[in-house]
Amino acid sequence: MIGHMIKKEFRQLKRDKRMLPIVFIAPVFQLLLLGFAANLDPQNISLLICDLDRSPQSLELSQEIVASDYFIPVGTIYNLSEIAQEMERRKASATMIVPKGFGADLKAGRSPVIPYLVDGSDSTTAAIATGYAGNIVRRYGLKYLNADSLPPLRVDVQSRIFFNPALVSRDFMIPGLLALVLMVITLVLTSLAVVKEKELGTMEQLIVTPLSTADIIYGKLIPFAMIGVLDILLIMAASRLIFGLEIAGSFLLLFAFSLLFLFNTLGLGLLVSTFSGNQQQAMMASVLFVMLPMIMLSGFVFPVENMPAAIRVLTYAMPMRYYLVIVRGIYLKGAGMSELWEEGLAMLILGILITVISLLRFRKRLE
Amino acid sequence: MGEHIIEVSSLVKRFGDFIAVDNVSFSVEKGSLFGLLGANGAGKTTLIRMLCGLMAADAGSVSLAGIDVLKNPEEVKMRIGYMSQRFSLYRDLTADENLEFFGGLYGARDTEGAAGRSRILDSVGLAGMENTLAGDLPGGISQRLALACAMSHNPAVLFLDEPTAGVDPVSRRRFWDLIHERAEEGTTVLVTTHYLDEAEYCNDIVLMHSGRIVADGGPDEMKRRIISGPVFEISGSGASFLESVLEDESWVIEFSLFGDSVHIQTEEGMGLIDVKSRLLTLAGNNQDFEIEHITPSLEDVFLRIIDQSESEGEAVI
Repeated sequence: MIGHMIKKEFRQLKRDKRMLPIVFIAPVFQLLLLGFAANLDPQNISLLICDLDRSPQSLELSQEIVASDYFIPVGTIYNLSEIAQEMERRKASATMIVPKGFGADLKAGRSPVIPYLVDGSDSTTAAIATGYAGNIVRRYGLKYLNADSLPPLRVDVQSRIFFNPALVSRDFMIPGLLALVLMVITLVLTSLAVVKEKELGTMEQLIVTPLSTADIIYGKLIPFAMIGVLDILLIMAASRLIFGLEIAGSFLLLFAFSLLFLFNTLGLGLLVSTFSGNQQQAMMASVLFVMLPMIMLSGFVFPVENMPAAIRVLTYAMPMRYYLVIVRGIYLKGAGMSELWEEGLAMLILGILITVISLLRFRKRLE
Repeated sequence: MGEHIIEVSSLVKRFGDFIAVDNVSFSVEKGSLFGLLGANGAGKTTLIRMLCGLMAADAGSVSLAGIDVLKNPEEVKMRIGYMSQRFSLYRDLTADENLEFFGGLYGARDTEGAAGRSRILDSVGLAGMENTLAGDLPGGISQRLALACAMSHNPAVLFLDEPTAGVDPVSRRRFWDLIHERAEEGTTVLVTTHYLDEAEYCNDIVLMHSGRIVADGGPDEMKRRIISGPVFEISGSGASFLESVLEDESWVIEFSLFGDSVHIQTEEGMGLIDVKSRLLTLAGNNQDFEIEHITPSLEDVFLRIIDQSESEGEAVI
């Protein structure tokens, strides 16, 4: 009997001219959009140079900065008092000040201090840009000192970056997108599809047939699980073809964990539908009560480690928190079962919990 | 008396403080065409949902073919067909696909093959519309498709909740022909309606008002029982004046408004000529009316019953 439900569901999907693009084109579109836009690597940071030294060395340093890909010089000024005004006027995100005596200090083997002013309104870009500028300055300092065959200065700030050696944030984002797209598509489709039957009165008709509650629920969920699986493969293929992102670890393990994540999102969709009377409510509830908390509290946007303890507790209830660790781990680090079993177990427990609650709420009776 | 296939006793359903079904008891004879009547909000839909096991009751019991519906709702599902008020076909599936789906859920043999489905669709007048989307079918035709879907598994009892609401008269007639065919084949049909003319087709009727049963019986028997004297219809421009003075006349047992005309029920034994002469005397200058002796309709009966039940505050059976 469940076969009839699934067949019916696919017939309806096939006939829904608006749904198919949502189901298959939207994931790729989201991937492209976020893959290109969600780029945290600052490039073309507009930089104002305030040269108080006017020495050959200060000029050289300016050229060094200009030569890097990260900065676009918007001009050079020679007076401290003009900084605020000029930053505003030239729309500079940062200003580097070359202090008076910079050249002399270098020649004398003293470490000069380079003050660097940054527009902090975009804190992420600011932090990264500061790092870039610091590196360039240090590199320049080293080169200069070596060239004069003085004993090289020891530079301690030498960070090393693992797993994403190019520190391309896209490589970090795309696995996250797999989680996001899977959640959005399956959660919304499921909650809408179930609520639509309530809204149109066909649910009443289904309840009076010999279909069991499980038949109704799984008849609705299995087609969307299948779509979810297709979406997983689609996103993985697109990530590889478009962004050249390969899976470092086991594809099968990632696939298996993705199914576990689907189990959670489908359950959440069902849960949302038991609280909603019509499709608008289901949509609002999906976005406000599931998607936003999940995006905010899963580590997709803000690192979980940076959250206050009280908020961090909430993140344990987010299936996506675990899935993100898993996708990023398998995609970037090649992590295996031995590192990820705890996350897997957490998702399994959450999934069972969500399903049990929604089954209890989904009674085969009318209110 | 035949065998009773449905026995309802002391059924109660409350929604908060509102009592939707108030201590309702009745029984339905096997193979009969049973009408459940009442205005919108009288509790018909709530009652029928409980009979189908769709909704839990607060008190009372329902037995269908010997099964306790309220305790074992799943067990009656194969034996009943149900067409809800806004019968719910999948509008984005074709007529044939709807039938295949609903038939499939019941494991009905007849709907397994395309030929069988096409035969069923033919029988309800949907020949040539197999591949039309249900959402594109006109109201009357989609109701017949809904009926076909609800009875593809040959249920012993067919529950139809307001099947003809909002359907044109010709289609209504056609629909009732189909229901009659079913009843003649031995299916028990329980139908709710607020069209009183449709109630005349039923073997037995129950009238609900504010959640209670206020009358039951066969249509003709009920008319004889409730309306004892002859009924006359007064129409024309003088009717409204007469209405205002009739109230004080002791020989008028009951009068009620039907659109522009007035129906009066008089003491037993009064003839048309007698009534007319009395009316002419009363009318004074308003002589412009016509009077006719009529057979009381169920509407006369029900208005009478509901009137009495409201004034007495209790059921008159």
